[in-house]
Parts: sequence; structure tokens; C-alpha cells
Amino acid sequence: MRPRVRARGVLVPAVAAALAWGATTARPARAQPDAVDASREAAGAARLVDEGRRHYRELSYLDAIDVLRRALATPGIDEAQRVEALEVLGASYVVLDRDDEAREAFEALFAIDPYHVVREPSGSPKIARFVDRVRADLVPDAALDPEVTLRAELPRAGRVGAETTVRVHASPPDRVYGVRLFVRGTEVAVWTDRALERAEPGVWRLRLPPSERADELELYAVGRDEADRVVARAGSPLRPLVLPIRLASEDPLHERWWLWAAIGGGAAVVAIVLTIALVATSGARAPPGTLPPGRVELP
Amino acid sequence: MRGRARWLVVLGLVAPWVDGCGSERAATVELSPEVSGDALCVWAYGDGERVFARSYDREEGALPAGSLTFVAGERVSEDVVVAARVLRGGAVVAEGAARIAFGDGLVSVDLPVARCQPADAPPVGGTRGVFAEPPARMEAADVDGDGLDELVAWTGGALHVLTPAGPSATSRVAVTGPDGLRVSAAADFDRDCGLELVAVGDDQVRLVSAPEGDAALGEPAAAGARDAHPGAPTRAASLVLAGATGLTLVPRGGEATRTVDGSFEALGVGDLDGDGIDDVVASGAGGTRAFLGGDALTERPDALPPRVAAAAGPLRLADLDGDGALDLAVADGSGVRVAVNRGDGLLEERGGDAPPTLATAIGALRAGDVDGDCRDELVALAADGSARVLRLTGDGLADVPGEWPTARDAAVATVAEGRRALVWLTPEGEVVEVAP
Repeated sequence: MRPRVRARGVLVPAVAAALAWGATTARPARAQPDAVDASREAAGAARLVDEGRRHYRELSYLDAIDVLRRALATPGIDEAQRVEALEVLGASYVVLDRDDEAREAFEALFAIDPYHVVREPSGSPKIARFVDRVRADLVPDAALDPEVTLRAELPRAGRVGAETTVRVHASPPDRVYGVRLFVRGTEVAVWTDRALERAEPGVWRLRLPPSERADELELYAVGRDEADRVVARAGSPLRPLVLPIRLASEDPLHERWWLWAAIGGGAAVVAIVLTIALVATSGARAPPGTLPPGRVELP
Repeated sequence: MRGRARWLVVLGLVAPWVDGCGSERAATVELSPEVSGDALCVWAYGDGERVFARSYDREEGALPAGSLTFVAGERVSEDVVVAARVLRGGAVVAEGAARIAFGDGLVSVDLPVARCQPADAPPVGGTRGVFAEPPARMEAADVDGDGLDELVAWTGGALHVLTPAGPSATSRVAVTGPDGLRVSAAADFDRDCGLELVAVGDDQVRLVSAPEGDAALGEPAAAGARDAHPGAPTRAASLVLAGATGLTLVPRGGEATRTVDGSFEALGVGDLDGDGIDDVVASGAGGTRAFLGGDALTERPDALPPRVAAAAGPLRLADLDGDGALDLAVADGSGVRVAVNRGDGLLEERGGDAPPTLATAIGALRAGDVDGDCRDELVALAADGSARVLRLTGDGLADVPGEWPTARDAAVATVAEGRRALVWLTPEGEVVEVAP
């Protein structure tokens, strides 16, 4: 089900002007005729968004609003930056009790990404409630729950010509009734979505079909509850997960496979048995976590 | 196919010589702080000691979220407790802990670091231990990091630490010092993931470091207070002191500065308006006053409803309605007034038309989420030892049914995995788990 996103109310002129300017002048980076200019403009927008965040942290809300409106009007600002700017802009307006402008900012944000999880630095319940109200008006199938998490388990890379298995872990398991994976390749603008099958409670699995060439897939997963409402995502369309698809490594000995087979000879059967036993009983080295130091070797 | 066959052969031949060809036993813990703060402290406890500790600062306006992989060792080989706290100004504003049993391979665990934790084990009741010398007050805090609370009290010129393990448990003396101190709070100012205890007395305020082991009593940090709590109302980690001459801020390693004149008996420190900066509520003979944090403490007279502002007894900041914002309970003689936070720091009286009362003046208020529903229960303790346990409902404060023995003090403590309990301090120094 597609989220319902509709315009509501009249755009406050300042926000409307900023959005309109950005909307009419911004282009996706890959479509810019001059990549250097696009890169420079995007960097400029990023700096302004960072500056807006800094003002917000320092409680200079009027300065934050000023800087973020300029960020939104920057040619070349991409949609991820636009979402970041609108997020802080909306929060600044809420703090200042300028509810109409805050609503406009969050509506513009949800028009880009209806399920974006607004991360307001202070954790203000007032702002959280405001965001929930706006989202509830615009996106009826959103039921984002901070207690529900989706975590995608991807291999470091897939292989050309081979299926790639993607797993998604849902926690708590009983809150997620369906997971769909959205995928697109480097040269494709449109997302293709596929339903994952439940491998075990809380774990969902999908075998991506073989790719015919090397690629860099972008993916994100969406979890829905029993009422088909979105409760959590892993990655997002603006901040997708990345899965490289690589060619199988060229090996100069691959033409002499029969030599290996001859050397292995009768040991092959034993090797297969040993390998199966190893796979069954020994995991690979546990992957490090994402926080430093990644792995903690206990005494 | 040819490549697969070749590698199977190679693997089969090489595998027996590979060191550690047995499975790596490990646990990946996904940490997700659910409240804002200025640091996230993560530690692991195994084989009777803290075996890992690390703190993470706030980055780009948010606490880091992510995972750590703990690999079983020789000593810590069967299970490990992984725990985390969110700190703001040294105060613990959220925490989470999980005991993880290592399996044959990789175990994945989600560890939310939240203001409240599920309590899925039913209360047991009975004696949990005894203080070697009966104290007047006690606090619950996980000082050794094992995921379960200890009870700490300053009595007879010494800090006593009691692990409420059962009827035969007795407190141990962690450190000795002057008479007349009282433990008022626990904090982690140095972000080493271990707690320091704040001890206050009429003529000095001191920090006790490392109460779980080689405890040390610090030099006096200030010249006496009636109550003290950690926090960062002026953005720097500080002790906030309530005393006979006013409110005093003592920044970590800095000089004490009196910021508000007045006479105060009790205070609470926490973020009332959701701006990420602690605010202060203090009560004394003149009533209860609210101060917003920022560059300086700024009084906000309109934050409190009149009857709450007039109350002059002990107070407690707690989330009584479970909305994530701190509410206020303050004693008014023998009665309890409650003001619920709208979420923006403005408090509205919701205790009901007739606030619950005790037979004599209330000497202490305690709060904590006993049943894991994220709504704090409130314990009102009178000077005569009588007590009421209260819960906020749509009609105001209501009694939690139960038989409450005579108490000097009470606390909400995690006494076993998944089991939070009301623990009662009897006049004899016995600690009893009471079951609502």
C-alpha cells in the first residue's frame, strides 16, 4: 500500500519560497551537466545544514531557521540533505511555538520520505508528539515504533551469476508480520520491491536473483505490522544500504582444475565430509560490531 | 563448478591444521539509546568483575547507536552481562542490561537503553538481607555493574553496601569517614562506567568513588547540603546542592557557586521541558520552586500549579503517567501533591481533589517503575514508619493494594534478572522485598 501524502493548508511564504526555489533548481547529482559544480553546491548545502544543526544545538533557533532556509534554497541540495534541513527546521519552529511553519516543514519532509524517523537531538517529547500528529494526518499507514527494529544482514559482496541471500532481523519478532526489500541497481532509478519469507521467528530471508554483471545494489527493508502499517525500516530510500555485486576472482589456475581434482582424488569425498562438518559446527570469525572497538575479546 | 570442487579439496586438506577450527563463540549486542544524553557508557561484567568498559560521547547532536561483538574467553566463557547507561551531566537517565549466554556460534541480542525496563519476573517477597548497622536512608544502585542493584547507605561513619541476595546477606563496609553523612544519589561523573556515590551532610558533601571495590572517600566538594543530585542544568556536569542558604552548583572539578538564594530541603534535577538541558525543582520552607536550565538557572514561577508551589516537603521527579516526561510529586505536610508534565515543562496538578495523606508528616518520597509498565510508582513514607504506595490513574493518585510493614526508607531495585521490586528498610536495618 502506498502511503497517502497530501498537501495540507497553505505554505507559509518563507518556507514555500525556499522549497519552491530548491525544487525548481535542484537536480539529482548524476543529471548535473557540470559534476564539479554539482559537487560544490552539494557541499555548500551540507555545510549550511551542519551550521543549522549547530545553531539548533546552541539553542539559537532563529539563526538555525535562517541558515536552514538558505540551505533549502541552495541549488544542488540533494533530497537527503533536504530532509535533514527540514527536520531541524521543523523542530526549530516547534520550539518557537510557530506551529504553522513547523507543520509546513514536516509536511515537506514527509512528502519526500513519509516514513523518515525524525531524530531530534534533545529527544523533546513535545516535538515528538508534534511530528506524530503531522505524520498521522499525512501518512495513515505509518506506525513507526522506536521499540521495533529491523536489521539487515548482508554479505560483504555478492557474486555475478550467483544468488545472494539477504536476511532481515526483526525485534521484537512478534511486532513485524511482513518485510519487503526494495532494491535498485546503479543504473536504475526505480526501486523494485520483493517480499521476504519468514525463515524463523524474527528472521526474514530473500534470495536475490543472480546479477548478470558487476553492480552496486542499493537496498532498504520495510517492516509492517499485522494491520499492514510500517513499523520499522532498515536503511531508507535516501540512506540505502549498499551491496556490491562483484565478478568472481580470476584465478590463473582455474584452467587446471583437473590437476586439483587429481591431487585431491579420493580425498575429495573426505574433504566434502569434513567441510560439511566444519560448516555445521564452526561459524566464521564473528563479525565486528559497528561501535569501536568492534570486537571485545573477553578474558 | 570447477572452482567449487577445487576449494572443497583445499579446505578439506587445510582445515585440520587451522588453529581454532572450532566455532567462535560470540555475541553481537545491538545498542540503541532511546533517550538523549551527553554520553553512552557500555560495559561487560563476567567472572565476578567488570571486564570491559567504554564510554561514547554524543556526536552530531545524538548518542551513537550500533553494535559491539563480545567474544567468549577462557574465564568469561559461559555467559556475560552486557549493560549500558545514558548519562547526562553524570546522572543516569536511562539504562539497560542483559545476561547473555554464549552458544555454539554467534548470538545476537538487542539491548535497548531506555528509561524503563521490562519486569517480567513476579515478585517473591521475603528478607533480602540486613545492614550491619541500621541506616536512616538507603539508595539502590548497581555499583558493581552486574546488572542487579545493590543497596547503599551511610551509617555509623561508614558506607555500607548490601547485595540483596537473600536472608543471610549482610552489608559490607566499603569505606569509612565522618558521621552524619547520607547517600543522596549515584552518578558517573568521570564516565568510567562505574558509579560514584554522593554523600551529603550538614557540613560537607563528598563523593565516594569505586564503591564496588577499593572505595575512596573524596575530599569535601562543598560545605554541607541537605540534598544533592547530579545533572547539567548549566550544561556542565555538576552537583546541584540544596541547602539552608540556597541552591549551589558544583561543576566537576570546579568551585561551588551559589546560584539561587533561599532555604531548600530537597531537590530534583531532570529535563522537564524536553530541550536536552536539565532543569531543577527545589522545595523548602517557602514552598516549591522550578528553575529552567540554560546558561544560568532561571526561575519559572508559572511552571507549577499553585497548590504544588505551596507544598514544602520532600519531592521526587518521576514519570508517573508513562509519557516519557518527568512529573513532580511533592509532599505537603502529610499529603502528596502531584503535577503532571505537559511535555514542555509546564506542570498541571493531577493528584485528585483529595490528595492521599498519611497519619503524620511525610518524611520521604521514593519512586520507581516496579512492574515494568514505564509508569513510576510512588512511595510516601511518614516519620512514624507508615507508608503508602501510590500509582497515578485517570482519577488521580490511587493506592497500590498491599500490606506495607513499618519502614524507615524504601527503594525500587532490580533484585534479580527481570525482577524489579519494592524493598523496604525496617527500623532494625533489615531489607525486605514487599510484593504489591
